Amino acid sequence: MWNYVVRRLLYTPLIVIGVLLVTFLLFVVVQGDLSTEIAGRSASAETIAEIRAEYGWDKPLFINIEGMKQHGIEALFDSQFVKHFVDTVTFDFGRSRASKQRISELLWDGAGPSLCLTLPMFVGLLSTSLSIALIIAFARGTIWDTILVVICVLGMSLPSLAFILLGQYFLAYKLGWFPIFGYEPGWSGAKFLTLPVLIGIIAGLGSDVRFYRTVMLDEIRADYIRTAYAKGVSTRRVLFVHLLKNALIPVITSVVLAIPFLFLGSLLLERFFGIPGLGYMMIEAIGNRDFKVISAMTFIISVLFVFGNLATDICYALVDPRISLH
Amino acid sequence: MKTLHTIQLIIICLMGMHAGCGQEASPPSSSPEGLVVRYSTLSSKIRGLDPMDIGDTTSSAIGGNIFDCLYQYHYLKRPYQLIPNLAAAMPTVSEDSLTYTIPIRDDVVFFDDECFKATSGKGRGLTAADFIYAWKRIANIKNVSKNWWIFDGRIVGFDEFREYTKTIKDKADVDYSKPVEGLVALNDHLLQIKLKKPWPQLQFMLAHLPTAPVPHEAVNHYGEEILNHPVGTGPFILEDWKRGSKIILSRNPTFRDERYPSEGEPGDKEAGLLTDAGKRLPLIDRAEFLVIQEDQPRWLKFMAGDLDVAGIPKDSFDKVINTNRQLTPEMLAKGIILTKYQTPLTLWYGINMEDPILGTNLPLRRAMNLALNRKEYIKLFANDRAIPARGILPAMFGDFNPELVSPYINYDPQKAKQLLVEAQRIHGGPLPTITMTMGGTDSTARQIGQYLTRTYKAVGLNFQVEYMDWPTSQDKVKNKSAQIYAMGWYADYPDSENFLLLFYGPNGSPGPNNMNYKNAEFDELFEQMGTMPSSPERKALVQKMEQMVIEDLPCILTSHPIAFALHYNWALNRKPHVFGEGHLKYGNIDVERRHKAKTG
Amino acid sequence: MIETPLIEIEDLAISFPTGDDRPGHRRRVRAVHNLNLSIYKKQTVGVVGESGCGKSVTALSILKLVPQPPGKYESGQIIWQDDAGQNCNLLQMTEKQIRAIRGNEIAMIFQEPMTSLNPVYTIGDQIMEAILLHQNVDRRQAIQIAADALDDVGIADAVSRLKEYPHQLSGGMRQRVMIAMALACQPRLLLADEPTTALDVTIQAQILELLRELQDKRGMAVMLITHDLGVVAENADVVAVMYAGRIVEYGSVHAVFAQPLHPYTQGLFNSMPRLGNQNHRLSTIPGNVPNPANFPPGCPFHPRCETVDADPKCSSDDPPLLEVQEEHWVACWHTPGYNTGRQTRPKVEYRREEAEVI
Repeated sequence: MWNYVVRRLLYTPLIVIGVLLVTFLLFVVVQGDLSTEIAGRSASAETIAEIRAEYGWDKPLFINIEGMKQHGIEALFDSQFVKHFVDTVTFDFGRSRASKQRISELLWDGAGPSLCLTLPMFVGLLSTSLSIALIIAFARGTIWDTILVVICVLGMSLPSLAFILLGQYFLAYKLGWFPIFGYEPGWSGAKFLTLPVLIGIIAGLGSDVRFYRTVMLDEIRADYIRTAYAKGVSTRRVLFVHLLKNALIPVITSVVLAIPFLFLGSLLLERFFGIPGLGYMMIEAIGNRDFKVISAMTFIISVLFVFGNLATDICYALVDPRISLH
Repeated sequence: MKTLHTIQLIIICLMGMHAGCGQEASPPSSSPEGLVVRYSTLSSKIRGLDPMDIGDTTSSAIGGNIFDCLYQYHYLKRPYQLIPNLAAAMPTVSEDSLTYTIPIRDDVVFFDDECFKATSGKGRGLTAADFIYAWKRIANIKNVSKNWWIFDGRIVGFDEFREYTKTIKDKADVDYSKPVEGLVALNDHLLQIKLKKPWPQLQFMLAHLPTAPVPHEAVNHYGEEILNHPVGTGPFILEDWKRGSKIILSRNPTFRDERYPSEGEPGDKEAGLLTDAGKRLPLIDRAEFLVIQEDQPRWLKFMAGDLDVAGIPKDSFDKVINTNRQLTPEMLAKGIILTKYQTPLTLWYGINMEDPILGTNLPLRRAMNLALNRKEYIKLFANDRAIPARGILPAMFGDFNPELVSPYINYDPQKAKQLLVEAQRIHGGPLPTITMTMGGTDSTARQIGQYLTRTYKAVGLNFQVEYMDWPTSQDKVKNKSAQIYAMGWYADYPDSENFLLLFYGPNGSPGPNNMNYKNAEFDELFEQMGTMPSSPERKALVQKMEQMVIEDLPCILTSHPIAFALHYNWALNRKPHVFGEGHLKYGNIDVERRHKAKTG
Repeated sequence: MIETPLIEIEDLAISFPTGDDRPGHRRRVRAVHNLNLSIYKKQTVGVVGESGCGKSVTALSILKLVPQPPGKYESGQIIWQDDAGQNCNLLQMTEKQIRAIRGNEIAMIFQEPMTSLNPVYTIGDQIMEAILLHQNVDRRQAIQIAADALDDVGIADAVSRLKEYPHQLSGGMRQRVMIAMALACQPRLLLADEPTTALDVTIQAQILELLRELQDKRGMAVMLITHDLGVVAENADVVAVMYAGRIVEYGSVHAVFAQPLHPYTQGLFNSMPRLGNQNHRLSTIPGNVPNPANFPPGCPFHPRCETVDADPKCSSDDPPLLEVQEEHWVACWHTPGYNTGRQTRPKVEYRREEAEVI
């Protein structure tokens, strides 16, 4: 297995180069020049040229042949992409073009609140929906199954915005059970996070329960479940020991792939409840054409993804003895 | 400058969010430690607090209370009038209008800050050199400041200084002591500015936040992080900044002796706006700003009494405002007060005059203006909160021409149809489909797009709308590939020049004249007008120029929005103010009343 | 002295919904219909029939493993003679009581050894689960018992095998593991639901042989469900032939094999390959097993019955199971002597002698 892990890790630089190249092409090459925007009102050709030089946009994209002719071989790599790549992989993300804030600080400041929101939401959603799915799997064919499935479908068909608007209006404003809006770091912030976390869980339950229910029902009809019952195993043990571990494989897939996105936060919840996370940062950055921010986030997510995928494979191997990593 | 996009503007206006009331305040029940605290919101995250880089309204709303400029607008008097702020008096202008001499107050000190190492943290006194230093930072190309346009080509020797900075490799090596002929500190408290040619608008620039002084100690100490460590001379200091979530300003204990104005316009006294006359500013101890980007939480916080001030969210408009355009009894019972006021804002659909179909076809542009039912448009898309535009200048401008009439800026579909016949003749065949570039893909954008398409179909003009994101649409406008697009202009200062520059030929794309309107006569008048001080002759000139624009119609004029803002009766000294920033110091809070209202 | 059966199924009826949920079409059908069957200690009862005839449901019902819903026990009782010789009705037991029976007193093995083991646990864990559940032993002892159980079913190197996962074993090995798991708690009755169907022929014989050995050794009773008369002939003491949820013929293996009475049983025999009769084409029973949702009225077999010409009685009245000869029951209007048959509960105490071949 260690062989496999090391081999997979060796692929990481390739994947990262690929991701950086694609974002670079998309945002630097395709979107064109931002110098006129930066120049603002005083957009003389001269100013624009100066701005381009300031940002290094006057350099060649990939390799600097001219530079090499003039200054020798080491100047060959004096290009936009090489600089961008070196900066990124050394985690020197630089400063946001729009706000001039240090990107690493923006990410660091935002990741905490985002995770404070998404981690409990994720864990809560996963455990709740798995439990409900197990209950449904146990009660399949009864009226309870039907009722829960109908509720799930209703829940799925309501957009999450509806849950947010209603939850905030009734639970926070009308009933005053929760603060309407706000955030504080540390434990004192828990009161602010409770409602958004709850809403996030409830809004996500419908689709998650339906998905896990399908997974569970596929398993509960399996012969080994009947065997377990025939041994005299209790229903609870059948569900939580025999069924759950088998059902974990599709669960792991959906869970591990979701983890990199936890870091990104939740766009709507953050905006509506005032959690200063990263949820909106990507969209703002795209709107501002803040290439460095976009690229930094893409980079981090792709790295998380590589590790996430590796973690998935390792989890598979841990859960399912039929899978071995070579 | 704030070039805004119609849709964004409409949304902003619906929320009552714009420069004038960017610093919305909001109050929870009681003030900690017996301080007078004001609670308010910002509608977006602030970016940074270095005056050199400040460009967005939200950052300005905060920065304007931390930094002071040489001049400021009188809080109560209308029309808007500049008065000294850091300056001790209005400038002395030489005979040839080229040399400005500005005395600077000698009782102003910067905030106490660790950057003042020589005085072990005690803020030092403000000098004339601090202004020159701050402006040189803007000029320094290595800083890529967006605000260079303020000084570009205006001050003797300053452009040369900018050239000099281009030759320096490292930002840190730029020598700020290098003299600039037009910027001289005659002594510690006397600043002299020499202009290349007369430029009366300079005075407005000296009230514009980016021209606020910055101590070189702070820049040297904090380096690039200066944007998070503002060291100013203003009434408030930045006490806490939780990025993207909350900003707390607190009273600057070393703020100079500035007093609440003792006179205003007629009616101000009756409105209670002079109750605090002569009191030392600021009147409140603390101001908390929550960053709330969505309507519902902002509105609920306001309804719960946690905010002093709010705009009216679109979805709640009918609940708040009755058919008589007044507050509903429910709102009145809560002690909410409605303020309606004009903004220096005009909205239109720009027409690219370099477009081969539209640019050469005046009857077509006239027909497009005639086909639009502005009243209906305003009702549908602005909750009736705007007045139809007849010209470029909003009525608050001194040069506004109440007699300005164009036979083509009204609703007359019959006439539009007739003009289209002529337009076809000029075009030499059936008119192709006109494409509008819409910088927005949300439902409001689509509703507007559908409305305009219907409007032009009705008079027999093929019209279509391309939806895209805002930056993409801006690109199309800047590279002149858009035919028609939504535009608006929110004036930076109360001078018609600020609107007319949008039609000045040399300002063509990517400059602010994105209609690429070119009229040699207009350009000549603009250059002439730009150097004239305020006078009846200048006014006549402005009105002539406005007339020229509505004759040539490089745009489909739509409306001048009217802002609706709400505040609780415990938020005192609220007077709409649409120019400049930093009005927080005038505001007051009736803490008693707020406490009573909140505890029932 | 009359011996009491180890287990006695009386008038058992189990129904399922047809799955047709249209209003007005919702109804339930009986997968098992008035079924009577007895198993004595150390006896092997072979239950024969085509798939869908209700054999598996009958076995599952003994352990109350018929999923409810959709299944429903309509009537009947299953009397179980417990360790102390007391009779109790399994169907009346609480969940907890029946759990104490399952895997302990009555164990079950299934047709599909490939899928009947949990793929993500070691076979040791799975065998030990039942031991730890039913026996008062600690984990170390449980490992020993499990290893012994593996040893008993002929798996060498049992202790290290305990750590293996099902996918590491062949089909035959897995069925041995299933048997080891079922027998680990020394049950008194083993329900073997087509235990060899999924295995290839040589392995089939080994497994059946193993079962026989263990039955003799442990003295347990076996309910052997199969569609293969050959398996019955070699292993069973008593045969119950099922068709459409009913027992249509019942008797000792001698009686039934010597003289199959029911046309369906006769059809089964005719479709069985026999040595020395190779030129004879195998006959098949025409038609299909009726869908439980749509059993024909009257005798459920009548649409396929070739022995008798159309008799209106066959298509209108369902024949009860009558004892037409001593210890030989049948349900067919046209069986000779059926008119004088007695309505008795089918019970046969017979156990064959060792090495007796039929």
